[in-house]
Amino acid sequence: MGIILKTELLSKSFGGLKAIDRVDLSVEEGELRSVIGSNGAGKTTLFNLITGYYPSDSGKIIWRDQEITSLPVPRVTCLGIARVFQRTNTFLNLTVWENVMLPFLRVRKQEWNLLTPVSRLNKRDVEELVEEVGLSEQIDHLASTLSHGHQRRLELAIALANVPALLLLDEPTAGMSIRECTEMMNLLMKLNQKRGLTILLTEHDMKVVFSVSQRITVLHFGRILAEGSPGEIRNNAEVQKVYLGENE
Amino acid sequence: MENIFRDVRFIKFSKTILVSGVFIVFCLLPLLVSPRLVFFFSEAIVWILFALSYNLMLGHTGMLSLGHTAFFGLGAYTFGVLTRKALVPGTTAFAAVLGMGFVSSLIVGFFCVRHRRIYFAFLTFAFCQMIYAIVYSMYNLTGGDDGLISIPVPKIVASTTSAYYFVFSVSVICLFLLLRITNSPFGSILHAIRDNPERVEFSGLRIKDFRLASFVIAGFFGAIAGALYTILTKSAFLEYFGIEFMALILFACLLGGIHTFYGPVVGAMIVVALDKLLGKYTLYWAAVTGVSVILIVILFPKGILGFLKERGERFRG
Amino acid sequence: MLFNQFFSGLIYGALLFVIASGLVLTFGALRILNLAHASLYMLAAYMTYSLVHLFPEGPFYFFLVVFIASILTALLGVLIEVLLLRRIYRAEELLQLVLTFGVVWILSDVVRGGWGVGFHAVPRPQFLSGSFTILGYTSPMYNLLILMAAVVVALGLWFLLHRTDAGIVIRAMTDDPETSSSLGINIPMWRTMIFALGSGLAGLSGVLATPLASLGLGMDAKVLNDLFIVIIIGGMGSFPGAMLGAFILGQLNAFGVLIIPKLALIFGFLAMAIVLLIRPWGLLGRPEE
Repeated sequence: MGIILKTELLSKSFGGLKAIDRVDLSVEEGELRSVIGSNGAGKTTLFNLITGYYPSDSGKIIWRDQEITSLPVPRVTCLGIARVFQRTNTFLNLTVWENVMLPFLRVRKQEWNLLTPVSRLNKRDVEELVEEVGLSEQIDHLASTLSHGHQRRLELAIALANVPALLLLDEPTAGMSIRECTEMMNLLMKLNQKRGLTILLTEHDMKVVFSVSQRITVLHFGRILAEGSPGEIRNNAEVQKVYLGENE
Repeated sequence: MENIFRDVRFIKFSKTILVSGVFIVFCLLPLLVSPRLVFFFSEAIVWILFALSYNLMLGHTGMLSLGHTAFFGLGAYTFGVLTRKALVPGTTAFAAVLGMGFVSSLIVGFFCVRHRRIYFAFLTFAFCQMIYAIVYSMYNLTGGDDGLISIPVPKIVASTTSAYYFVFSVSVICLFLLLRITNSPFGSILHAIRDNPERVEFSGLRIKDFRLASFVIAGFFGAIAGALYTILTKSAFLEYFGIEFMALILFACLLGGIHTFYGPVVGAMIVVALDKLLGKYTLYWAAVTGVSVILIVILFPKGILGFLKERGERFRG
Repeated sequence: MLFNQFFSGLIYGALLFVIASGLVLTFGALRILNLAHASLYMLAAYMTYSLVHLFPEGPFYFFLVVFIASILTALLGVLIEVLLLRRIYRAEELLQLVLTFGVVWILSDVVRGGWGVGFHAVPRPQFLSGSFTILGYTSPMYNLLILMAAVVVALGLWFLLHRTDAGIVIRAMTDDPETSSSLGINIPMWRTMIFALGSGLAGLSGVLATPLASLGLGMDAKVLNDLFIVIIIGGMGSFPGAMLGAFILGQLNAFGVLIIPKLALIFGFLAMAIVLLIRPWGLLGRPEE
C-alpha cells in the first residue's frame, strides 16, 4: 500500500487571502482520512484544488506517480478521483437511475454511442450501485423529489459510479439526522474496508470524525496544524485550544 | 378501469398510436388534399425538420444559438448554386450539401462552443451575419439580393407530389435519427450538460466536445432542411439567413415545448400555419407573433407539449 | 480625405455611444439584455418625424421635440418594464431574451401601422443648417450637436453614477444584485426608473439621428446589429467600454467602406468575433468567475 495522493507545498490565494498555504499532504492507499478545521480553514478549497476545479498558485499535486497539478476536472476524474459535494449537486431533472447512469457511460466508454436506447444499457451496474446506497425504492423518481438524506446518498452513488480509487467527500453528514448519519458512516466504512476505497472527507461533526477516521489532518487558516491518529489529535494541545474545546 | 389512464404502458401505447396515425395521414396526404395544401405541408415538414435540428441544441443541450439559419442558408445555396450555376446533378449536389453542413458547422462550432451562454449566442449570430455578407457579396454565384430562382431539380422530384414524398421521406429518416440520438447515451449526456454542466465534468466528461458534437449534428440536419426547401421551392433567397426566420424557429420550439422531443414538431406546424394564414388576414402578423411570444413566455414557458406532459405527470400522481 | 472618413466615423460612433449607454445601463442594473432597445430608438425617430410637423422652426421648438420624444420613449420604457419585464426577472435568460424579442416585433408593426412602409426624411433644423470647417474639412453644424450630445450624456452619466446618491444605488444593483436587495431600498421602483432612463437615452439618440439618414423599417435591425458589436467589443457592463466600442465601430464602418464597399458590414462582425475569441468579456469589461 503506497501513497496514492500527495500534495507538495500547495498554495492558493484569493485576492489577499491565503486559502491554502504550503500544504503538504500525503494520503495512503486504502486510508480513511478526515480533514477538519473551522470554516474558512481551507477544506473545500483543498478539494477544489485536488480535483482541478481551481488552478493552484504554486505547489504540486501528485496522484500515484503522476503529476496532476494543472489537469482539468474531467481528466482528474478519469484518473480515479471522485467528488461528493457539500451542496447537493445532482441532476435535479433526471431520475435517480439517469443520475447514476451518467458516470457509468464514461467508465464503460459508451459516451459516444449515438444509436442505442440508453435504457437498455448498464442495467445491472446501476441497479447494484443504487441498492448499495439504499435508494432502490426511489430509482425511478426525479432527483428533485428526494429528501435531503436521500439526495446525499444519490450524490454518493454518482461519485461511486465513476469507479474511483479516491473519494473526496465534503461534509457528508451535513443536515442529517443521527440515524442517517450513522447509516452514511457505516456505508463509508464498508466501502473503505470491503472495496479498499481511499476516502478523504471533511467534517464538522467531531463524533463522526473520531469514530471513523484512521488518521486526521487539522487545517487552520490554510496550513496544516496537526496530523495523526484520532488519539494523537485529541491529545494535541494546540488542536484542543483551537477546536475541540468548542465542540465537546 | 380508471387506473388504465395512469398506467405508463397505456401512455406509451397511446403515444405510439398517435404518432403512427399522424405518420399514416402524412403518407396518404396527396390523395387527401389539394396540391396547394400538399405544398403547404411540404413546407411545414421542412420547417419541422429545421426546428428539430435546432432544438437538439436549444432544448436538449441548453445552447442558445442565434445563427442556426446560417446552415439552412448554406444548405439551400449549396444545392442551388451547384445545380443552377455549375450544372451539377441533383444527387451530387445533395451529397455536397451533407458535406457542407458538416464542415461549416464544425468550423463555426469550434470557435463558438467554448463560450458561455450570451457570448455563444452573439458569436453564432455574428458568424451567421458574416456568412450572409459573404453570400450576399458573391453576386455572380448567388444572385446577391435577388437570390436564385429556376433552380433545376431532378425530374423525379419536380412535381408537387413527388417533391412532397421526397421531402417527407428524407425528413422522416432525419427525425428517426434525431430521435435515436436523443435517447442514446450521447443524448443523456447532452441532457446532463443542459442541467448541470459542472457535474458532467466531475463525471469525467469534457463538455466542450459534446457541445461541439451537438452543434455539428444540428448544423448537419439544418443544412439538409435548407436543401430540401430549395428543392421544394426551386429557389434560394438571402432571407433564409435572416433573423426573422431564426426568431420564428426559436418561437416554434418554445411554443411546442423545448424539453420534449416532439415539441418543435407541434410548434413548427402552428408557426407555419400562422405564417401563411396571418399573412392573408392581417398585415400586422409581426405584432400578433410578438404578442403570442410574450404570452407564451409569461404563461406557458414550458410550451404546449411541456405543459401537457406536466399535467399528465401530476395526474398520475 | 482620410480625415473626412475619420470624422464621419466619429459622429456615428458618438451616436452609437448614446444608444449603447442606455443598453449598458439597463443590462448592468437589471441583468436583462433588452433586444427592443433599438426598436425604441426607431420609434423615437418616427415620433420625431411627426412632431417636427407640429411645431414651427426654431431652436426652442427643436429642443422641445427632443425633450418630448425622449420623455415619451422613457414612458414607454416604464410601461414595458412594469407590464412585462417584472414578470420574468426570475425566468431563464433565454425566456427573457425571447420576450424582449416579442416586443421588437410588436414595435416594428406599430411603426409600420403608424407610418407605413415608405421612407421618411427629417430635415436638419434650420438654426443648425450651416457648416463649419476644421482642418480643411467641412462638416455640417448638426454633426457638432451630436458630438456635444454624446459628451453631455457621457459626463451626465458619470456624474449620476459617481456623484449622486442615486448613482450609488445603481452601482450597487449592478455590482451585486443579491446584496442590494437587502439594503432596504425599493428595488422594483429603482428598476423601473433605471429602465426608463435607459429607454430615454435610446429615445434621445433616435431623435438626434433623424436628420442623418432617412427613416425606414429596417432601422431597428441595423442599429441592433451595431449595438451588439459595440457592447461586445467594449464589454457588456462598461460605459467606457461602450465609448470605446462605439468609437471603434464608427471608424471600422467609415474606413471599411473605403476598402470593401460591399462587405463593409463584415469588419464590424470580424472585430466582434475576434474580441469574443481572445477576450470574451470585452476590451474594458470584467471577467466574471
